[in-house]
Amino acid sequence: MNYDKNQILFIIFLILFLSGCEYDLHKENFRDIQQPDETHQFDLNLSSEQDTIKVFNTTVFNYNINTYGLTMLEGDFSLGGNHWSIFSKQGSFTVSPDDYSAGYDTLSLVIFTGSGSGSLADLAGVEGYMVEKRWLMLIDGRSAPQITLSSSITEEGYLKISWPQCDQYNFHSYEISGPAFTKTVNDPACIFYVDSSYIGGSASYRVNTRVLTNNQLSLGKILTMNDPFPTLQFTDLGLDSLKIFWNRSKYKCRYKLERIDTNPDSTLLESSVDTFCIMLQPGLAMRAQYRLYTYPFYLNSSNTGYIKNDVQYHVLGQRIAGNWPYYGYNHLDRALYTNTYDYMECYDISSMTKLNSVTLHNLIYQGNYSCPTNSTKVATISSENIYVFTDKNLQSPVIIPHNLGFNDIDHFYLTDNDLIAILTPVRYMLIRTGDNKRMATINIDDYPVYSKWACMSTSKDGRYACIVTYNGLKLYNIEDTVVTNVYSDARSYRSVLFDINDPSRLMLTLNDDNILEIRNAADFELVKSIGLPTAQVLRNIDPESGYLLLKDRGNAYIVDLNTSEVVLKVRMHENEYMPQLYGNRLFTVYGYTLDISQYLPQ
Amino acid sequence: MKRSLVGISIFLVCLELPGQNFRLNMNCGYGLYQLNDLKDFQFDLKEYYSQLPIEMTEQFPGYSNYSVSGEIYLNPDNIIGINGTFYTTGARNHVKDYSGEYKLDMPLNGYRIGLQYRNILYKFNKINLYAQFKGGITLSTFKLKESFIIYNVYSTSSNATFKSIPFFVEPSLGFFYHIINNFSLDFFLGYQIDIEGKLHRAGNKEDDLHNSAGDHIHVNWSGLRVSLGISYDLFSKNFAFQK
Repeated sequence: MNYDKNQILFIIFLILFLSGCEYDLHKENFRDIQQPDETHQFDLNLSSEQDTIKVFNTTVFNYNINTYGLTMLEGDFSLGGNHWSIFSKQGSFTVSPDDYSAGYDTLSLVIFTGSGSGSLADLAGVEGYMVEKRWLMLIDGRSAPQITLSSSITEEGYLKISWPQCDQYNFHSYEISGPAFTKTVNDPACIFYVDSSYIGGSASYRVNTRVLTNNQLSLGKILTMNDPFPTLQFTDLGLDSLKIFWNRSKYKCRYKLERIDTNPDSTLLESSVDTFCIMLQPGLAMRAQYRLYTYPFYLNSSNTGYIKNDVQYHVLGQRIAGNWPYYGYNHLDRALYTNTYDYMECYDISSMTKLNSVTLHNLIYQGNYSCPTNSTKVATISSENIYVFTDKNLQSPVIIPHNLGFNDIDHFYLTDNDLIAILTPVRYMLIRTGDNKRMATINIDDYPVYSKWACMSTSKDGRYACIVTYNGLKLYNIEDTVVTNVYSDARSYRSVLFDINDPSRLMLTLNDDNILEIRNAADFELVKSIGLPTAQVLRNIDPESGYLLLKDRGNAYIVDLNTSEVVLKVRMHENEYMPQLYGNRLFTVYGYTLDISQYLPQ
Repeated sequence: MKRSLVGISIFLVCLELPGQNFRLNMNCGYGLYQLNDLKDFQFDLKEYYSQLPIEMTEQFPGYSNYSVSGEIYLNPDNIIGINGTFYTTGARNHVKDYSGEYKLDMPLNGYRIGLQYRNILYKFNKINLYAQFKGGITLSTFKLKESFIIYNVYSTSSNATFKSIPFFVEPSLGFFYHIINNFSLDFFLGYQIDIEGKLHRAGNKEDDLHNSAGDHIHVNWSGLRVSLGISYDLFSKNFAFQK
C-alpha cells in the first residue's frame, strides 16, 4: 500500500486531536474570610460558684456556658476519673460523694468551640478555641463516726467528757446529751464538755455525730458515770458526841447536812469543803434521821437533777429486839432474856449473841422477865401462864397458869426463894412457884399512875413489898401468908426499889426533891441520902457491878452506891421510860442495848 | 487510554480500506447534554456536606465534542459508515479558604461508537444537502475525585469510577461544501437521543450508582448537536461532487 505524506500526517493529527481535549474542571469557589482572633471571651458558670465547692450529698450541678456566639463542639467535665461529656451549653450532671475518696479534688471542664470564622477548618471542627476551667471541690460522703467517750476531771474539779475529734469534711455537729442537758455543737474542734453539775452518782452521757451527708446521725456509745456520791457515815465519839461524815465527792460540789426527824428540819452544816460534822449525841436509842444533800457548786434551776441526797438513820446502841421489849438478867448465867414476838430469847451478855430461843404462846402481850440472884432461874409471863425456867437452856419450864389475861403487869419479880410477885391493877400478888400457892394478895387502893412500873418493889427474899405514889408509901411485911403494913406515909414519891444486895434496904426517890433515900425496910430508918442532879426514877441495880440505874426525862444516871456518886450520865430517848442496866449494858424499851463498860469507872 | 484505542482503531480502519470510495470525516462540534440524573446527583453530594459552603462551580456544561467517521459510498447519494465521537464534560463541587479546600471533581467522558447513514437530498454547485441518521452506543465513564484538606491538619481523598453504556440515535441535517481536491467542509445540526444507561462501578456491574432517593443514576447525553468538520475522500476523487 502506498500512502502519501499528507494522509499519514492527517491521521496522526487526528489522534493527537482526540487525545488532548478532555473537559477541564478549573472553576473554584474561594472564600476570602478573616482568620479568627487568638483569644475569645467565654463565661463558664456552675450552679455552685464558691471558692471551694463542697459535695457532701448527691449533687446536681447545673452549668451554663456562654461562648459568645461560638458553636460549642463538645466538652468534658472530669472529676476523679469520672467524666461527663457535654454537647450543649446548658445542662447538668450529678456527682455522688460515695464515688470518691473523701478529700479535696478538682473538677475540670474542658470545652472545645468552633472559631466562628466559618472556615472549612472551623466547620470541620478542627479550628477553634479550647477553654479549660477548674474548680476546687471538697468531697465527703462518709457516714458519721460513732463516738466513744472518756472521762476525766478538770483542775477545777469538774467532770470533763472528752471524745476524739471528727475530722470528716462533712461534719455537721456534735449532739451532746447528758443527765439534764442537750447541746448541739457545730465546731468539730470542740472535743470535750465540762459538766460542772456532775457530783457523782449515775449519769449517762452520749455524743452523737451528725454529718451533712443525708443529714445522717450516728449514735455515740453511752458513757455511764457511776462515781460514788457522798453517803453518810457515823462514828460515836463517846456517849455525848456523834461524828457524822461522808466520803468527799471527786467533783467540786457543795454539801448540806440536815437532821430531818425533827420538825422543822434542822440544818447542821453547809459547806463545799468540810466533809464531817461533830454534834451532840442525840441519845441512846434515839433513832435520828439525817440527810446529806450534795449538789452542784453552781446550783440553778437547770441542774437540780444532779442533786444527790443520802438519808441515813443513826441510833446509839445495838438493836436486839422489837415491840417494846422487857428484859431480865441472870448474872450467874450471864444471860440476858427478852423476846421478839412470842419467841423468848436468851443472849450472852458479853457478846449479845443469841444462845437459845423458845416459843411461848402469847408471850408478846406481857413478856416480863425476872431472875433471882442466887440461882440460874428465869421467870417470864405471857397473857396465859407464868413460866419458870431453870437456866438459859430454856428447857422444861414450870408453868403457872394465871387468869390475868391482858391486864397490865406493872411489877413482875422472882425472888430468891421462888416467889413470884405480880402487880396488876389494882392488886399485888405473891405466888409460890412450887405449888402455885398464892402467898399473899394486896389490894392497892392508891394505884400508881406515873412511872407505875417503878412504883412497886419486892425484896429478893420476898419478905417486903413496897408501893409508892405521889400520895405516899406503903411498906408491907409478908410472913408466910400474912401481910402486914409495917409503914406508910404521905410523902410524894417517884419510885421505889429494894436493894438486891441487901433485901433489908429500900431505895426511894421523891417527887419533889432530887434525893435518893436509902432506908431500912424494917424500921424505915434513913440509912443514906444521895443527892441527885434531878428528880429521877429508880430502875435497877446491875447484879454485875452493883451500880444503880436511875432515869429522868432524857437521861439515864448510873450511881455508885458505895461512893454515892453519879458515875455516868447517858443521854437517852426522851420517851425511854424504863431502861435497865445489866452486865454493864444499858437496855432500852426501844430494843437497843449499849455496852457502857468503857465509860464506867474501872 | 480509551481515546487512544479509538484513535488507533480508526487509524487501522483507514489503513485497511484502500481502493474503496471512502470518505473520512473529522468534525468538531458542540453539544448540550441533558445529564439530569448526574446534575441531581451532584446536588445531592453538595447537600451531603450542607454544613460546608460548597458551591457547584461547574455542572456538566455543554462542551465541544470531537468525532471522526469513515464512510463508504454506496452510490453518489447514499453513504454509510461508522463513526466515533468523544464527548467530555464534568462537574465540580468546591470550596476553598485559608484553612483548607474541599473539591469534588466529576469528569464525565463518553465514547460514542455507531453507524451512520447519509442521504444526499440536494446538490447544486459545490453544496450537497443531506439528511443523516446515527445510532449506536456510548461508552461513558464517570469519575468521582473527592479531596478534603485542612492545611496542616489532615487531608483525605477518594476516587471512584463508574461506567455506563447507553444507546443513542441522532438524526440530523447538514451539507457538504466542496473546498478543493478531496476536501470538503461538513456541517450538520442534529439532536442526540439517549436511551439511558445505568451507571455502575467499574469492574462490578452489579454495583450500581444510586442517588439519595435510591434511584439509579443514568447517563443521558441527549441534547442538541452542532458540528463542523472536514471530509476527505480517500483513494479517489471527490465522489460526492461527481456529476
